[in-house]
Amino acid sequence: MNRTRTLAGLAALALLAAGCSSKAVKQDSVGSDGVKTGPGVTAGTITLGEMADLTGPFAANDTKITNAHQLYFSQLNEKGGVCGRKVRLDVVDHGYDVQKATTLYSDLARKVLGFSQVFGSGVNAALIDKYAGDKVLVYPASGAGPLLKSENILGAGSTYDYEVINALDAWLQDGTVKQGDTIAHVYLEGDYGGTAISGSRYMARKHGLKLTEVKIKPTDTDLTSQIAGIKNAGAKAILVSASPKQLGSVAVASESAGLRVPIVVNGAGWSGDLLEGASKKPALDRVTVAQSWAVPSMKLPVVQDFVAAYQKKYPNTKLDSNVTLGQSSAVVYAKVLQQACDDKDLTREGVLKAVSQLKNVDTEGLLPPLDYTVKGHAPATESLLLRPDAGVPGGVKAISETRHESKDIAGYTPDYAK
Amino acid sequence: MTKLIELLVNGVSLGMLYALISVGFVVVFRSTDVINFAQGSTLLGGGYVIARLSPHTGFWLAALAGVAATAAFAMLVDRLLIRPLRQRGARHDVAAIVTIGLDIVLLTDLTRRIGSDMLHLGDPWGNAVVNIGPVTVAQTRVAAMATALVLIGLFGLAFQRTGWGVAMRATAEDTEAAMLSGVRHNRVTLSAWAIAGALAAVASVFLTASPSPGMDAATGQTALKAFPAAVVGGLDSMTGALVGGVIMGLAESLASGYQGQLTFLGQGFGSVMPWVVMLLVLLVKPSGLFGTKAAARV
Amino acid sequence: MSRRVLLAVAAVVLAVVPFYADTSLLQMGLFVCAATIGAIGLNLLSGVAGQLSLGHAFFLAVGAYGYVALAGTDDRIGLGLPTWLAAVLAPALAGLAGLAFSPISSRLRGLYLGVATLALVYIGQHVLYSATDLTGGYDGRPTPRLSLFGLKFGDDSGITVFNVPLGQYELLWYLGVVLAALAWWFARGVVAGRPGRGLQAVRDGEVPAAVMGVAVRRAKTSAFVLSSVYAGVAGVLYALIVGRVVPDSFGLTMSIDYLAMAVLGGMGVVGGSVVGAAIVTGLPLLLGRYVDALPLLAEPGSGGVDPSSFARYLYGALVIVLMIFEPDGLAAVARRVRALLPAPPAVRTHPSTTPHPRGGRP
Repeated sequence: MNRTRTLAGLAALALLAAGCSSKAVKQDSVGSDGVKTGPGVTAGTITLGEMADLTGPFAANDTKITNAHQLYFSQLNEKGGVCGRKVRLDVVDHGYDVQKATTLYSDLARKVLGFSQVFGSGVNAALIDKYAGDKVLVYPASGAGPLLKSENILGAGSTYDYEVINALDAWLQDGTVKQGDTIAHVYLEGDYGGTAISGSRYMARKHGLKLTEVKIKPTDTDLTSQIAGIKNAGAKAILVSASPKQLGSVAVASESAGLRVPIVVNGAGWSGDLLEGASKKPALDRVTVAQSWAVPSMKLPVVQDFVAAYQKKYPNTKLDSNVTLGQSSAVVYAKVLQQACDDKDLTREGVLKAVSQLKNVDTEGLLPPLDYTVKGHAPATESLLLRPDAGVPGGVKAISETRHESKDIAGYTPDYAK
Repeated sequence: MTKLIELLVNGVSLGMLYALISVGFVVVFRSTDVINFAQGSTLLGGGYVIARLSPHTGFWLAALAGVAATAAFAMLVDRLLIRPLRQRGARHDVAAIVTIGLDIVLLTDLTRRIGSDMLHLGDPWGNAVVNIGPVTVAQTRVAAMATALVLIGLFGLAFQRTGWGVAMRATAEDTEAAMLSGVRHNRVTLSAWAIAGALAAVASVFLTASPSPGMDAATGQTALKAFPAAVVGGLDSMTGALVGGVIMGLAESLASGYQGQLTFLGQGFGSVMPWVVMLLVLLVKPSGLFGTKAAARV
Repeated sequence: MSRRVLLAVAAVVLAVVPFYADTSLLQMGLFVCAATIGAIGLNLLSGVAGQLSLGHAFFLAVGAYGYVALAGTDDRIGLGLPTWLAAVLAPALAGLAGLAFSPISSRLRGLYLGVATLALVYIGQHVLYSATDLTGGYDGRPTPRLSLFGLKFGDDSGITVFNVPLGQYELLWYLGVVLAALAWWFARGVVAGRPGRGLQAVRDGEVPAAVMGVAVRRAKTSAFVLSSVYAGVAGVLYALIVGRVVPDSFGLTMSIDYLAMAVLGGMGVVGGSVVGAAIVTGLPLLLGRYVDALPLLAEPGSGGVDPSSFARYLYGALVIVLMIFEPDGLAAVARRVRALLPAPPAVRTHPSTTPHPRGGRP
């Protein structure tokens, strides 16, 4: 027994002595081109991490976003890349599982400059403290407001509350709703709904509207009872910040209940699938979609070229606005990298510093002009208003390709920013 | 007042759907003492078959095929997975765990197939509504209520009047005694599982029809709400399944419709309501409202 | 080799792991440790005492959020207790929650209990989302760093051994392994001792157990409380690993995963829970990270069988196959394999591992 113990002890010591120092993260250094580089950057490549949901509940949406990122950066690399370096994406799938995301993040965080995507509100909520520790810049693929409190989060476009404000503003202008009217807001529990409700509460206060708040859970798919309550409250219009399926239920149940009032939904809550089956008629008749980023049906050259390339590369996928969301966010991340390159600082700190300087970023109409100089605030506030149209890819078409911006936004401080 | 009536009507019609699924739990439990945790994914599978077939064959043929498919599937489950356990005399929770394993596999596969598509089963009712005074009800819900009542009524009758029903009841009372008196237990359980499977497909039609916009990978979760319905009624009681279902439908509908007045419970309380009601009932009656004491044997 | 030597070798290997494994691997190992503790707890309840529970995720949540709230110093409700005290009190809180549920749990049997515990998961998640002041709502709350006898479990611990700095996860690794080992040791004691035999009697039939003099309701309550405490410990460890607790994690999937872990290793076989935890928790994490290197699995999103689905197919099928052919789980399979191999002379048959007649369990 004694001998065993000694042997074991010796073995342990031997192993310990060989303990590797490879656990350290690459230190910052200055390359031959005078650019300071950090983790994930070599003389020839910049590696970005993508933590996507390719197999979980949002797989179909996020696969398109991720594919669009891949396509955009491969196009960019053909044109020479950023800072004389090719951009390489290290894509991993977390399947919307926090546990898995945690371990994958730790692995990637050693190897990349930043994250061009970390998908999922639950995942981002779990990891956000780590972003700060690692000083990485992360695009969260979400328009949730509370995330923006972190300087590590790169917003692309507006947050959900501005979409609601702009849509409500359009209703007030065309007389759909007037002061004293009741409107209802069906919103999902979580950061998506929580952000959106802040916008409707503000507009209700500002314009003397009565707001009926209806909070629902992700698993609620039959909203007949909620609609009965909304009808009873005498709502003149319904805002929906929920999933496409729940929008479908609101549309169909309100049709059945004879409550044929206009419905506005955030871009995240729309799907072209709604133009089939029972939801087709109410969707075509009454739904308006509000979002800040471009949709595939827009005539903008930057959209059309990309969409054509996307279809060529992924011929079997249905086009929708996740493709343009992916394109828009990739464009923004590339702009940040370019700024960091101009500053001769491709370290993580350099990237964070680059973002905070960006103002009036022009994305050729993919997104409204972006301003990152105000901390904790969405970089854009304008929204496109779109109507369903079964004849175009994605099932929605812009009412006007010029974005709408409510004058009330000037006086708005989001609830989550207080 | 109209709101209350609408909520009550909606609650009852929703409850009937839960009752349909609960009846599936009850027939299986009565004949084999097993709770089938794979009922939700079976429902999803039935809906998937119908949705994929109906553009080609039309709704009715597709629905028939879906019902046949889930019935056949459930029979296979009984034959291949549950019967060996029964013959070994394994505890009933072992069989329940097998159905959980089955649920994991089925759900993974269906989720992968469905992705985030929204499937349409192609039911003939569309958005049509029925007006009863000031109250509007979706035609699908009327059809659901009618179907549920007819099916549950038929089973009730069959239980009381036919030889099959006698065998089923005898099995539920005392399996060994029933077998000694010539009841072919394996046949009885096969038929029970087939019924449960068929009911799952029927329920999938109504769960995904208007006012629901279609079926997605999460539809099977709705079937979970039939659990509290079945338990509140008493797992071995047909009447219990019906009453339990309606109670749950009403609880959910009222809590969702009046959530503005119930904010102290947290917004969005409606879908939690059935579970709360279930716990309250179990506190008072551990075997459910209509469950017999014997059903609680393990 | 004797059992002791095996244990010594295992201990040495576990002790040197942090010197080689990167953070990601350490986290995987830690998740397996946490899962092991939780699975052992569930195994005591469902395997040994025969009380089917699908509510384990709820008690993990009580442990995790309990720790965060007891030690919390952020702007939410928090007592700001010393973290070691919070880490001890949080599992106790989970135990209390289990006790509070006993009016229901001790009266219900088998399958009724299984469904009743489902309610805990749904109601629990509702509370986690709604009681924002306490739980932080959907954003969750950051986990306060643990500090034990002056030792800070953070990257600023200031401990360097053989040029390897021992940071947060290196230190947590040791804690996790020790806790899992203690959980295992204690559970074995329970199972082998008088209380364990009482619980087994309850499992095999409540009426005969009562006749034999077992206080059935009390036995069921204590099994439920004990299993909740285990879940609470797992919850605290989980919270420490992820660094921030969010309600999304504590859903039905977690409960089902725990049941699968308890079942796979062998119902009532304490050591089996380690294997169950490794398969259900560890395998998907490992496959997810090394998917590029695995030829048979498709890249996620390409339409083929991805690693997550593969792992779920595998353990779902394992649950079915084991329950039908070998309800004593992988532990019994291992035993059979060992029996087939020529036995080395030193092997001594432990009384508790002798094969039992069909349907029975050790």
